[in-house]
Amino acid sequence: MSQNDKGKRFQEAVLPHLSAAHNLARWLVHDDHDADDIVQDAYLRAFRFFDGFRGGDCRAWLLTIVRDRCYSWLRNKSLADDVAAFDEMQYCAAVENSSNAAGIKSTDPEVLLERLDDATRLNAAIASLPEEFREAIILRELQDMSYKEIAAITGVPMGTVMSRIARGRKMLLQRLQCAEQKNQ
Amino acid sequence: MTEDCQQSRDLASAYLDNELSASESLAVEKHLRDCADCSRNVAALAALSAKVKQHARYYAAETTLLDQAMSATTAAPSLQHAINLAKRKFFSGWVPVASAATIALLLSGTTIWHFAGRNAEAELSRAILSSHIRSTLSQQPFDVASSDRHTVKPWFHGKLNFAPPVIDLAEQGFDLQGGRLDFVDGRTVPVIVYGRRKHLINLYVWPSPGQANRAPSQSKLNGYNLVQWQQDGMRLWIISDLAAGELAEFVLQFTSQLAREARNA
Repeated sequence: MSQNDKGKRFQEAVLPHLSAAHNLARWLVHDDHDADDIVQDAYLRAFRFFDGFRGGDCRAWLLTIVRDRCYSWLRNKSLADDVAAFDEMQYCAAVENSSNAAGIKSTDPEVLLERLDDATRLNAAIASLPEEFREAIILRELQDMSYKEIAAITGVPMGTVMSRIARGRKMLLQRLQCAEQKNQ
Repeated sequence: MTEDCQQSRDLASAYLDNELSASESLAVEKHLRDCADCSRNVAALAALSAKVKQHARYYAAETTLLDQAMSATTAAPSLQHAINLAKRKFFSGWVPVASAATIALLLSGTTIWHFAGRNAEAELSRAILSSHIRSTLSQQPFDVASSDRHTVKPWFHGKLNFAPPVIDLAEQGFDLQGGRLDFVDGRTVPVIVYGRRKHLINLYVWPSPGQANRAPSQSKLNGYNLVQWQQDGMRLWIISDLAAGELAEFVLQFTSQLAREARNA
């Protein structure tokens, strides 16, 4: 296979999943710039390993590489242990932070939460999930992937995927309720 | 909460995702009919799932990332990168001793210098290639969809300071599909979109007055064929994954039709 053929085949197979790759990376590392760098690195690797890719689900194959790059990046930044167990105070602080980022100037937390729209609250809640739950929810809801595909990407049994998605949703509901209760 | 409730709660999420076996699904459904609490729980989960799908932010890739990802996968740009690197080093007075770029430069000197002389052109090819790939990735590669040149041509009026040539080549087997505006090499460029079978042909054109006509020259980048030429004060580029021979046929038909129209005008 010539370089040109390889380049073309790669572009046809892998480039269309660029947004899926970026979306996953961005949700895992929380930063646009880092997500860009990671995706670029992942594409370089994917291109290098492309000869070994024997067809099949190209999106899942690429996302496996992207995810791997994200975690090694997080490890290097030693942020991997950052999001441990759920802590309500911590979460509500995160909501306040995102309201500051949204340019809402007030010191009254109730006013803050009231002014935060649904989408902002939801995004803050997802961002605050521990990563194994966050990635499962993102792959399921935003990439519309099956449990089997998610299991392949994250390297865990399907039963684990099932319980992570169930728990992830439960945590999200709790967090959104926490925001609403404070709102009342 | 009964044992059934506990089981139904455990399976509720997978039930909503259609990830249960038929018998498990039936068991959950049966329980939900009897248990209002569990039904409420499932409804809350379904509402949450819908909300996430609708409101969670989807961080799509920017086009700069597409360009970067593409250059990761081409042999030519990495060569180009080596040249740029080497040139930068020469110009900044740094004496390169053993960098890989220098070795590459020395080994294949003439070809590379020739290549470097055509730097601007190579960059333009790359810009057009990434624009082309972007268009093939998008749902619709045009802003105005029409096979009628009398619809496509007026669409560009007022958006540009010149009238791009929109030529009907349906008889020759190239279907006009529409047109769009794109941003290439720092300018807004009209793109006229043709198709042959499943292949997309993008034609880029902009005015370059005072330039002598130049015969079409063909090149290949990443498996795509590009042809560029200069005709009647216009610079034209086409790109497609169509075979080189068929693309040459397109150019032949297009240029002769354009010349005929210019004579009749």
